[in-house]
Amino acid sequence: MDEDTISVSKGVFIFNNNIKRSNNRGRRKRTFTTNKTTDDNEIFASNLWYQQYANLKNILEENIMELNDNMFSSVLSELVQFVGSSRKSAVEEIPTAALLTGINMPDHAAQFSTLINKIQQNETPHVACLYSQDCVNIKNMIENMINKLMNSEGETIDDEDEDHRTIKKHQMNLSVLQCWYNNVYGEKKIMSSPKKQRTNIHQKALVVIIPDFESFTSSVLQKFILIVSCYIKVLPFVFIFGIATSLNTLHTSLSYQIMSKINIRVFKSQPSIVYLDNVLENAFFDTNFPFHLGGNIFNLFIDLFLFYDLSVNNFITNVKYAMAEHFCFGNAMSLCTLSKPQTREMVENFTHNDFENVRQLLSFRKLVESETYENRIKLLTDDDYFKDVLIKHLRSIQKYLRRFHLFLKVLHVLVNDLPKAPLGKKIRELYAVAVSRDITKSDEYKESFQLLGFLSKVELISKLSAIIDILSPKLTSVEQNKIAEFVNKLEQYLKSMNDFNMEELQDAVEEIETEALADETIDSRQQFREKLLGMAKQKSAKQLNKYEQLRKEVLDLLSNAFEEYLVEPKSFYLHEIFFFDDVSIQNNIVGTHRTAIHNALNDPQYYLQCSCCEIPNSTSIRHTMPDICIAYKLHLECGKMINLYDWLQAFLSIVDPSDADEESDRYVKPELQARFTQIVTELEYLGFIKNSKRKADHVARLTWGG
Amino acid sequence: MIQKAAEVAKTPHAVRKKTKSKIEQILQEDSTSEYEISSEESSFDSDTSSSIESEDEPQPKGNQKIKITNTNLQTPRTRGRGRYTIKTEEYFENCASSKIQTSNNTLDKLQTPKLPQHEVQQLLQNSKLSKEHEKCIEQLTKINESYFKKWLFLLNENFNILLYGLGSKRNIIKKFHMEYLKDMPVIVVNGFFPALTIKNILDSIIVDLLKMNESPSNPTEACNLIIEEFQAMPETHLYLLIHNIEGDMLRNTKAQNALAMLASVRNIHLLASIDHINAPLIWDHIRLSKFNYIWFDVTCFSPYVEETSFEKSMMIAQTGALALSSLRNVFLSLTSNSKSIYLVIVKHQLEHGKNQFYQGISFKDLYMACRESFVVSSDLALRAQLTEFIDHKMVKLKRSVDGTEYLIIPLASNLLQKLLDENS
Repeated sequence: MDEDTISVSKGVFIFNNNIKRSNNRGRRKRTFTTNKTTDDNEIFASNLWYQQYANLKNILEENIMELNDNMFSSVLSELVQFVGSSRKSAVEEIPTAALLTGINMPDHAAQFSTLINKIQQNETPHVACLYSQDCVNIKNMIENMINKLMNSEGETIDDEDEDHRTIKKHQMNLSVLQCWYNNVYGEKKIMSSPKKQRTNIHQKALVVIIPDFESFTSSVLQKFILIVSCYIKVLPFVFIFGIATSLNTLHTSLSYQIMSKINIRVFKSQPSIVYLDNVLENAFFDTNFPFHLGGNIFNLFIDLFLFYDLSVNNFITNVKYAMAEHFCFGNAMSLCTLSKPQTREMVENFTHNDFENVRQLLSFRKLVESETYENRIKLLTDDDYFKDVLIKHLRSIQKYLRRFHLFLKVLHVLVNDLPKAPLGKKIRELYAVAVSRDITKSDEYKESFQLLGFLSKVELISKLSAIIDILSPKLTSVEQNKIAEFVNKLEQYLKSMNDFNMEELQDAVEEIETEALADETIDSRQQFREKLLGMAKQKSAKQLNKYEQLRKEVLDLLSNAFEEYLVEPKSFYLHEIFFFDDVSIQNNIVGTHRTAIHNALNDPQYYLQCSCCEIPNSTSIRHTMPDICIAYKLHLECGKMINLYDWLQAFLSIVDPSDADEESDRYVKPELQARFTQIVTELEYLGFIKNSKRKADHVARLTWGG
Repeated sequence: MIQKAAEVAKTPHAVRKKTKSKIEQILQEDSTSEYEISSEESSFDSDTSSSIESEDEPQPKGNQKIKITNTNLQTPRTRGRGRYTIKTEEYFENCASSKIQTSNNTLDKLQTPKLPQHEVQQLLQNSKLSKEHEKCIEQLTKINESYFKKWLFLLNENFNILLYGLGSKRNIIKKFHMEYLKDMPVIVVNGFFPALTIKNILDSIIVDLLKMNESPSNPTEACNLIIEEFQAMPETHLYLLIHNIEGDMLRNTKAQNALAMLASVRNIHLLASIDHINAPLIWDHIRLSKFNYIWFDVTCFSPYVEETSFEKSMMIAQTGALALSSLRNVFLSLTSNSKSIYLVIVKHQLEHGKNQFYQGISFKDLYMACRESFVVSSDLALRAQLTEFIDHKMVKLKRSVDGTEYLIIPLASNLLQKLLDENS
């Protein structure tokens, strides 16, 4: 088998290990159960951690599916409406919707599939979605479209005449489509026989969706539109173009003649950041989802999103990968759950190995350090004792997590609309701070509370009631006494604030001020300023007025709560079970291909960890280095062109410095020449150099710099 | 089962040892009392092998399933993120000096200007790495191989794996194949193979693997067919191992689109490697998100022997033995008339081929020459013969600007001379 996968005559090798095609195929509909496919990682299924992982993954996927359906609803319903209304009156041009989708192309698949579903449910069963890869030329495009339109019919039509199925693909043209359409919907006047109900069905539109408008060749599109526009009277076409960049592309890629055939209406879909926030808030910052991203990794993912692709899909895949990495740690991670009975059950089933796995967690060390000496040994050796400790700590984290999310939302209500939003406007920004450090000790937090100190009564009241709205639904669960108490207090404050009469206060303030100013005569500007300053100082030192008093109390109450509940997760022992914060997976998400090659060639010791290749700076060369490194470093010293002969001599002088006189220039040890030959080939293969035809025995460099 | 599984090692030795010593340290700081780490620990140390347990019961599908029980997939963390930034000034420094000064030395000054491929390979077999490096590379390989179980896990979780880093990745992929995918349907693709097409890959899935009779000629349709098939059998997993997914013949959009479509199927798993420094440029966002790669750095410094074996390097003497022998075989099967026609072209090319702007023999000249030697009687007969040459790629037909057709043989003149010597 060893030599099997290399051959001079073929490049594909099959290892067909009893693969069997399913027998029950044929023209059946796709009725694949999703349950079967979601749980298909049988290889690892027996591991505890895997079960928990699969469990959480399913929850996550379900949540996101649900979100997807609701997400695009507003723009999609507009589009569906557009499709419905477009053909009501006679038209001269093809009604066209230009949907500005944004550059997050990977997300669009979900959006368009929801759109197709909606149109099929509500308006017309005839929808064709054409991707640029299937439509290289106009023939392909028309065939594809007709094929999709004619086969996409739903249940509305009886399969009386199956003859359209026999039409070969290459026979499909628009006249066939026209015949088929007339056959399906019939001319109303002729089809008056009562046994056929078709008279009731009004003619339904033929929708053509082009999700990646920019990828199409413009000539194909132009022809397509021209051809279709010839049939506008008989076939009710409606176009939907998905445009990722800007409306300009439509104008630049289609000529005036073509533009006059279509009647464009523009729709804008939401920016993907809104989608992301929605997903985050509903799927990840859910109080029931035990897996959490740590601050660093969360920031990394958000950065990737904002500065790289703006794709929510990729964000979710990244999170899934982080989850996979997290649970890979071992059975300790199977404890990542928020249900208490489940935790206990898991721990009861733990074997010694599993406990050892928990002991490998970094914060376990801290836990050991914090204990007395006898307990330390017990922790390390006595599984039963450790079990109890473990459960205790897990419980405390679970409790913390529940409150953490709750109070994060409360804090968000308070700070999201402050001027300049020191803590950020979005809950994800708050989350990023809160999981990486003590948010209540941060400067931004202090600044926010200073700003909150200036809130007017109306604002404060609206915020307070919003907070109560967030907290009170959670009170139904038992034993949340402390929070219940907290809410009660807030309600009291709210009540007294509502009762409070602001105007009284206002009068009192003015009275004092005018009184004070009228008191004395002021001679100069200077004096007046001093006077005002003095008054201001006096005032702040003075007793706060009643409203201020009240406001301060409320804020203190809130602040205390935050200090209690929004501590950083690292302060808990065994927090690693719930929080994943290993930034090194960055290399696995965004590969550092060039970096790896660069490092390996420039500084082989970085990878080899050998003692012989240590170099003081990046330009020095040692003869012990692998051949390819030596040749590479020599080639860095050259300009755009490299003379092979000189390169070879330089290589030899490093590899074999023993005989370096003029005579030996002509004779090269065949072994060394073979080595050099191989290296040159490899460097060419890696793309650093290529054959140059400009001068004999020269190669051109394809890179610049080190 | 559980008993057996319990003996299985979970963590790489290094990590455990580190943790162990740390804990010991903590304890020793506190007191001098002796403390022993549970005795099983030491027994683990010797047993770091993987724990694949093939199920004994015969599976209804006939496929043996591997199961990995009671294991975690921690991998040692050795290398941090490298530091590499492109310095933009260097570009201008590099391009500023328009005149490039290189010496006029050529390889002809050497006793053996160029070595033929087989000799290079023979000589290379003798050369060895230094002892220390051998050890280091062995260590590196060991670390790289410790990812195997994680790869299997990730592949089954619908991620695809992309390997990068300096050194040939053939061996590590092969080893992964042998150790973990022995009983699975696997397709190995050599992306560096110079005559590979995406059609080959799709055809071999459809015809050889799925045993279907006809394969659609359009790659997209072929992909759709494969996808449909695989969706119909969710319990079958196909592993696609592609050495050099950025290989010359797979670089085009069509091939990458097709591969991306396949890779996004739930039960088709892709493990690929890249080497060319600009390889990641072949994917745009859509394709990347379909490929859904998890990247792994598996730098191993092993030489690219197989990958570079298809002789095209400038340091290697172009023997053209393969081309000559294939030409010879076709030539021998020709009729004597066709042979004469071909030799006319060969002779003409040898006489005039030294001219830098040699375009080939024009059709008219050829016709005249052939008439003179009584090998063809009509224009049409000659065309029929030429079609056969062109079909066998023995001759290339080019149309010049003024509409004249020129015939040229795409081979070096020394090879043609050899052919002529053999046949005259």
